[in-house]
Amino acid sequence: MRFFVLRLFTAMLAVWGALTIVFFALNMTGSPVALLVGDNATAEEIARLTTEFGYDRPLVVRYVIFLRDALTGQFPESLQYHSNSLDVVLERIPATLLLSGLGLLLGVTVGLGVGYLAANGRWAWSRRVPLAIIVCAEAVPPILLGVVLVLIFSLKLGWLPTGGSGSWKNLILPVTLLSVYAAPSIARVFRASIVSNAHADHVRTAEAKGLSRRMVRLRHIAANALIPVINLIGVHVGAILSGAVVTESLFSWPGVGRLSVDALLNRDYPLVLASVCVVAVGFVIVNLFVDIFIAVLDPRARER
Amino acid sequence: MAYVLEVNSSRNRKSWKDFISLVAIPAVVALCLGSTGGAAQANELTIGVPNAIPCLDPACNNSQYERSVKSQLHLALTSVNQDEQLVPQLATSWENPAPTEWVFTLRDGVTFENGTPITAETVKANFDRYRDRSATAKIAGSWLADIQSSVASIEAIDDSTVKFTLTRPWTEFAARLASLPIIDLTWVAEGNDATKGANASGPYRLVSFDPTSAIVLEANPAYYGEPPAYSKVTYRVLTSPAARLTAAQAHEVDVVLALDPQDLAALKGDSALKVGAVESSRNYFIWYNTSRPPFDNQDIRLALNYAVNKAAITGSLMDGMTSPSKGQVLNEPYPGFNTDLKPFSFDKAKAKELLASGGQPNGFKMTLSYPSGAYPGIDLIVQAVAAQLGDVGVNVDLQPMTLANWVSMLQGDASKATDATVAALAPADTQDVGMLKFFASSYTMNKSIDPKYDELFAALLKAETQEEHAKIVKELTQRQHDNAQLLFLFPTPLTYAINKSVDMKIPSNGMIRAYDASPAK
Repeated sequence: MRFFVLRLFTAMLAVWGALTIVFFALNMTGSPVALLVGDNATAEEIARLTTEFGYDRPLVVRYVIFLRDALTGQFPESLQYHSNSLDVVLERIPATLLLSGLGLLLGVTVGLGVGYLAANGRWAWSRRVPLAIIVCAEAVPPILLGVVLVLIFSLKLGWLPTGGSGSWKNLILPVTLLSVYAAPSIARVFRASIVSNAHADHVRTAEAKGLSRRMVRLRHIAANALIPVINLIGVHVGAILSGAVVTESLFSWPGVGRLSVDALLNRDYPLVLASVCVVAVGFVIVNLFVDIFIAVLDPRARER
Repeated sequence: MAYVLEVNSSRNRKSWKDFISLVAIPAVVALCLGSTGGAAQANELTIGVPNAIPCLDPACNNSQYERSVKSQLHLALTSVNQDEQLVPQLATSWENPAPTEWVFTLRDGVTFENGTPITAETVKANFDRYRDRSATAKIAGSWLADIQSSVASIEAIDDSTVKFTLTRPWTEFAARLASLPIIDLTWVAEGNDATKGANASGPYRLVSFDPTSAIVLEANPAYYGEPPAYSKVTYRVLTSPAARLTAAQAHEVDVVLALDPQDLAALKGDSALKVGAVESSRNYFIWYNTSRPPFDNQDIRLALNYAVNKAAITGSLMDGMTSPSKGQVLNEPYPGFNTDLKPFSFDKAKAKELLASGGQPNGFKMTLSYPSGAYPGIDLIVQAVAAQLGDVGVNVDLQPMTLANWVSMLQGDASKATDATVAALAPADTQDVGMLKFFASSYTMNKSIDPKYDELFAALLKAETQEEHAKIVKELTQRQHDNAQLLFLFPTPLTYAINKSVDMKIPSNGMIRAYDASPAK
């Protein structure tokens, strides 16, 4: 019980920290009212709107109000969309979940496959080449890799759209790009984990008991080798969510990542904060589940 | 190692084969996809725009692209066509019987999509809402400030006649109304949200609205006029310059605006595209802070105008897509463009001479702020300007800022502003007053104060006839030129790529409407 309470407390602390940093960082970049009022504003109109939006209050007061709103889910209206910022963000969540979920799924699948092959491949090339390829892909900055994918598959070959949404074809390039965030490290960790587990005492014991090789591999090597991978997947959820900012902007995908970039560029502070809040909460919840899952799988984790 | 040897059994040969299949499947699927094809099905048009379109209510104003979409869903009393001429729309005619009175006669039989008729009462209700600051404050910003301060009352004389009484003469009033469409407020009162939906009266009606991705329209059967040439239109939101470029290269959009000027070269070799730029109504200039020396000296302000080679900048950085301004802030799209004025020539000797007569023979140091990344090519432009000013001894300290910080600085006190700043401003309606008001002392961001200009501008606001208006605009632009109130640079280019199968003219105000397009003959 203490384990879960501690995890919950650190999770809440992480969300509060993220929101606080973003709140103060945003407010150091200038007043959003200046942009909202447009070119035609007189000094009186700027002052009036500053008061109406509450930006004339001291920063600390605004911070307290913001925290109160965040706790109750009553975020202020988006300056661009003129509705509750949280609702605007939540409308975009399915698109981001779809993209990130598929990206993670592909990344995990490829990572596990390549990791398994790197540990067990029959020939030297099958153990090295696939791993080398995805590690090389990891070394390329995602935005550059995305542009290269568009150049090849959209412009040169004309097989896939350059961006947008509405068709499964629109998913292929961004999902591929997102998978690169996860696959290489999962492959490396899974490979190392398989190799180290293969020599573990419990594997020798299982073999000595006369269990079939298949059973030993699946139950005693692969299952144990997955524990660090599951931990890593939890970390990758965060990486993929932040990667979605680049990927969604590059491929014009209407998710939370692109929404938050546009909100930032347009100084839509309430929307930026709502986006950060949703992403931070999502990230923390996933990590919380991963911690709990690991604790269930591996009782030793509860002791640490 | 022993383990590796052991697991290389037939079972594991199968496992890596399975994996290869897994990797191969997406490639095979991709191979089977075939071409993604061009943008347009027959009778469909796809337009790429650089900004999200967050709001469909005419009371909000986020960009000309948002206004473009709204102007196709909702009719306004007047409209500005693609040749930038004021034409009738919901109103068939109008008159200005007294300086502060405007009377509009409405088109008969016009209805919203759901059949509700548009009458003078509908127009009155809409303008009563526009005038009500409390009803629109949070969505309108200062967009309706002129209406709220200048329209005293609206009266529905009969079903097809509406009269506006103003608090001041306003010769450009009919043009301003082109950007204020009429919506169905009874439909709104039924609980519908005008920011996300529309009961259309214009040539198109709303099919779907995804503000950050795509807005889809189709021809509105209830529209009073000729059906538009394209029955279905998609406005695709492409916020990153790279996304606009690749969408144009892949022919996924028929029309795309606001390409990076440096990207146009990559599209010029494409035989399916018309690529180019128009001079927009947004003009680059350097705003002096005349509250402090040496910019309170006319000779110094003139010297800087002669010291900058604008033609070299437009020819290189802008790739010839725009040309130096004619010594004024107005250009051809503005009715009051002063054809008598000529650009300040590039003349270093004269610049040095003026610096000397202004008491700065050895030059001086100045701070020059600019909103980094806010306008096309601004970061490169300011560096070129700073280098050229350096050639005549003016040492420029460049101060890049975020747009919000830049606006905040200019909206603050002159004593806290930089010595000068680079700006590119344009009013929403491409009207003279809209542009010229930026340089009056009443405008918060202006730090270049000229009492004579203020006098003339005050007179302009009282002009009762078009002739009087034109005369004062000419005097204002002449005064601004002679007094070198600004360092005049050039209009920003509005870049575009249009599929050759589409016939469309891009106006200087960036209003990009599907009903202005037709299949090329």
